[in-house]
Amino acid sequence: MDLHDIALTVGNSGLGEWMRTNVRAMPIVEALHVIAAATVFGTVLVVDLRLLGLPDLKRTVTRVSGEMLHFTWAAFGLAVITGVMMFAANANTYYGNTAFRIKLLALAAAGANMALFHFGAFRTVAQWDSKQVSPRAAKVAAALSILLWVGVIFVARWIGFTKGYDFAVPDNIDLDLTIP
Amino acid sequence: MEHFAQWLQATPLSILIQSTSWLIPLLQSIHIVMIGVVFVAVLLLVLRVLGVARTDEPESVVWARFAPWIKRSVSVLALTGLVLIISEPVREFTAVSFWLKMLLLALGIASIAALGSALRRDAAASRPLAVFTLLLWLAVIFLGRAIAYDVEVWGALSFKA
Amino acid sequence: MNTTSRFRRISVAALLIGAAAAMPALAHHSFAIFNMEQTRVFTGVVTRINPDANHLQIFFAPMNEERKGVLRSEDGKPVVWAVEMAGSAQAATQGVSVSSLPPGTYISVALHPLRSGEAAGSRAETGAIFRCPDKKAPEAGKHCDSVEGRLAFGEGALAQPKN
Repeated sequence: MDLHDIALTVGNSGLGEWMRTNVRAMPIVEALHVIAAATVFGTVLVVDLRLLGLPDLKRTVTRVSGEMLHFTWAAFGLAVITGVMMFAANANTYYGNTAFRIKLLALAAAGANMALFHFGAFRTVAQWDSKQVSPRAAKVAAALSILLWVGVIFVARWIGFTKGYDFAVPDNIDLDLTIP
Repeated sequence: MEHFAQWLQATPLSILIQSTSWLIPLLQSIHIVMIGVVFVAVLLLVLRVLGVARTDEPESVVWARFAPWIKRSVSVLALTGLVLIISEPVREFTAVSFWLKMLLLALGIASIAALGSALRRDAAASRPLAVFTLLLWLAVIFLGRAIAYDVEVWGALSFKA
Repeated sequence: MNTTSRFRRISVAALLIGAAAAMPALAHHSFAIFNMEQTRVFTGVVTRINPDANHLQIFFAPMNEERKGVLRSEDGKPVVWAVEMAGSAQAATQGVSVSSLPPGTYISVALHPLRSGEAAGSRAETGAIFRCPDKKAPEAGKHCDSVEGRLAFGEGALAQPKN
């Protein structure tokens, strides 16, 4: 079973069918996805700006990040759930869509960047928690994080505009108009 | 209104935006990024009023921290939104969601201003007003996405039905 | 450098990444990609339906004026057009679905073509999609709405062609 088969299975599932047959499903799920994505981006931005030494300098890094993290994760969870629902609705189209693939890669990169920061620069946070200037590695991670999340939003918006058309004609169709 | 929308849609400016294929997704992307900024700024103001977040800082500091971000991002949202309206006025003006969004947006801005007038003076802002503000902004985002699905969302109530 | 100018720089950089991901074959959402001033009317043979949740797409091979065959390119391959409309759930409320328009069905539809020139368009806002009875093509130059026993999906007469 390769990735395409998995995509088709998700698309043909009850969830996919439900998404395609309920008139209000797509708009409601898409709107929740936008709210979730906006919350992920905004809360991540608050932490990244603190790491970059822009606002919130009187508060410690751990205080700012600790406060935001619950919201980031909750919103990310909602984004994943609604994202899977949207994928199920049009699985085959999304599977072959370049913008969709780039979006998944950008998401993975944002996640990797976050993990690298967490297990790297962040381990010594006690030393620079209340300092206005964070170590270079933390600043780089923060700048990358903003870039990657903005990138995710941009390519995501492009998916709907690049779905395109599959003009392939199945073999068994009579196009000679042989009339009985 | 529909005549005005059709006239606007036929203006050279509208046609220029419509025929520049990458411009509309680009504007929509900027619009969504800015929604992230404004929504989380509103969320944190509201959470401060409710005593959930940033309780280590006085209200006036929290207001000073987020009010400029709200102002700037709402300005960018207004600008990108305006160009998006010019590009597809018929779709916007004939959508129930669009008009409802504009109404709730006006209320949402007014209620932030009302919260701000208390926060600025470190006076206790009304908690119900804070919750109401957050709900208003959630509804605005929701309706923004729903513009593309007027018949689906509103059924017989839609002007397009 | 203050907060805004730095944020602005970051935004511009991210914006370029987004723009680089833009692809030429634009389709979907926002009707600006279609030329709404122009209306084309086709009668053709359904080849496939893509029940996309955002925009259902019907693919069809347009018939020639005589209605005795389909249009073919120089290499003999059939020309295929796509018409897209509301999402599959909404389209189903008018009876348009994979099962109601199986491959091989003859249909007539009015659409606003893409500005890009690609063989696809958005279904005209007014008028039904008409389905001819099985294997009964309309007379030369006519559409399915003229054939006895035709089915209509949606309200109103077939939209008229414009420029």
